Amino acid sequence: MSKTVTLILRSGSTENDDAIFCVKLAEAILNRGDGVNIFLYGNGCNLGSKPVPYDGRSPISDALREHMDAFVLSEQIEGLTAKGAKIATCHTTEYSRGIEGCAYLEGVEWGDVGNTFNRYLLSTDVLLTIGR
Amino acid sequence: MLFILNSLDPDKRTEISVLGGDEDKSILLYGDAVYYATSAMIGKLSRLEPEEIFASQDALAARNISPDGSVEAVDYERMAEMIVEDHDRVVSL
Repeated sequence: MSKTVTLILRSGSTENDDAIFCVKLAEAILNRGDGVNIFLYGNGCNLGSKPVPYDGRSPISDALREHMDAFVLSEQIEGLTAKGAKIATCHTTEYSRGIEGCAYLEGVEWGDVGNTFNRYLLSTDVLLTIGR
Repeated sequence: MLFILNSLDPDKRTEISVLGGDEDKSILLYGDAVYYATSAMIGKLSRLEPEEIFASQDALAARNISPDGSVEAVDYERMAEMIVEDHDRVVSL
């Protein structure tokens, strides 16, 4: 019988390994046929928004750009929702970072602790907080 | 009981000891916590008397760490199995 794992991600993707760990673990869980909810909380909420490319002349070198692009997880997150993961942000933590109005990645939803997160908990077999 | 560790914060070792008590304990390392997997540092975890110590092979490779012989390097497929199937209680610290 399949289980559902809820992951609370509290870190952004460039701070440490937590975000990439969360995304890769979620994919492995989905590949097993189990369910995944991800609640993007704190700095983790930055992962729910669509990237906004800079149109001007950027001084970032190609080598640095290539290095930093490895930390951009937008495609992987949209891949998770395409496979059935439920992913929502905490809108309050988005508000405090000035990104509440930004467009979401495909499949990512606006959320809150009182309703969204509690709905996740009702269907959760394993709850893990990924952060520090 | 599986403990998931992502840093070298010494307080987390205390938490494993307190929360794990006399129960069978396994420890999964990822992120900077994989430095515990080195032969020089594995003693800090061994004294907690875990049954098994696992480390993310991605995190080991990113830091060019060869783990101590007592540590099993695992991929995400195996980590998912451990978390969903193998342990009735999982604690992320």
